[in-house]
Amino acid sequence: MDAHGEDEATNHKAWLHVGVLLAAAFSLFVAITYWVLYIPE
Amino acid sequence: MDLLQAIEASALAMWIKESSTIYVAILASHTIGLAFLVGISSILAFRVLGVTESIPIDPFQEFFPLMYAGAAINVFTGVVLLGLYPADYLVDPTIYVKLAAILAAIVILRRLKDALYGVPHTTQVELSGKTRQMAVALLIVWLIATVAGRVMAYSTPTKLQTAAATVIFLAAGIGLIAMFGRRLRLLRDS
Amino acid sequence: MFGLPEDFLQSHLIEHWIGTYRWVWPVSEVFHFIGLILLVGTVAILDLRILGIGKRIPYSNLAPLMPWAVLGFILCVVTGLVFVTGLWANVQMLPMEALAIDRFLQLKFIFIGLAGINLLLFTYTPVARRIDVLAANEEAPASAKVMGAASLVLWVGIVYWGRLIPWGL
Repeated sequence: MDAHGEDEATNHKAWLHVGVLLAAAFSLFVAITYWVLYIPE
Repeated sequence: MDLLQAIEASALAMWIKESSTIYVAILASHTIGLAFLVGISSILAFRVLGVTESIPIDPFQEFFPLMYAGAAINVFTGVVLLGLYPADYLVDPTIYVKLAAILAAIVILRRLKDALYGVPHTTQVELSGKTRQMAVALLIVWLIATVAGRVMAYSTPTKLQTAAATVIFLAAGIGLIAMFGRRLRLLRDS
Repeated sequence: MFGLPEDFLQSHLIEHWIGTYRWVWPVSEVFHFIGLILLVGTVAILDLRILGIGKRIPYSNLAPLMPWAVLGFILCVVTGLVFVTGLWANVQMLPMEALAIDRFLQLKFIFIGLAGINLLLFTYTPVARRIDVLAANEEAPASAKVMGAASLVLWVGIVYWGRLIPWGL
């Protein structure tokens, strides 16, 4: 039960990192999109 | 019709349509979501069918959160996109094919998950004829959803030709993989 | 652009097929999607393992997914070439023109290039060999995690920019 609980904790942490990574990347992509669409040549 | 027009002209819908950035971001998210949802569930289906047998089925569950995230993203973005031009979408039978296929996929995926992981506290996973059938069914409905999604913008003859051509090319592709799959390391030497 | 002729990558044969057989372009779209589903699905799983998800699984059990990622990539490249070489038939613009003005198309190719460099760095440095023997419950080294994270972000980005291409024309 302990080992399984430990697994859960490290898994949650890993998913948190992945989630933050993807959210940050997506925000960057949206920001670049805005720049491309609205900054005149 | 009045309701559809009301949705189409709603403040949220108009805001999204006026902001190209938001609109295209929603479209892109929809594709990204399906890549995660269809991608990961299809790999599970492949595994059940004996492709990439080295993947242990029980621990594979740990990748599911990304699959669920994809599903959540697509339900959200799908509803929003539908609400932008509801009158246009809802007169096209293709959207109903797509939605039915997706609903079927969700049902099959849930049943497959229950069949594979339903017995608690055990890492023993039983593959059976039933799970294999579900895996094949899942791949088929995902294919239908994918084709339906792509042909929405085309005329009916083109839709049908596309569906037919897809089936033919896919059959050819599966045949090639069956023949050369071991050499290309797509399939394992049995 | 780049000193290449204006009609570089234009194929009259592909344009003819697209114009004559109305299913060619949409079928290419379908298989482009099948390719990206295979590619992103497999790469996501491999990268997630490197980033610490599914640690019960030794990496060597997941490695057989790689040929499917390659198949997905090949499907995307082949169908992508149909879009590029036959572009005129669809939007009356030459591929070189589109590349010159479409920032999203440029970003997509830049990201593909970066993903390729990331993969080369991964494969031809000790990182790949270290990951190949990553055991169950073993944590990947930081260098591998950086590459895994980069890979995940880049491929998601490639799908993102790809979807936006029509808005850059």
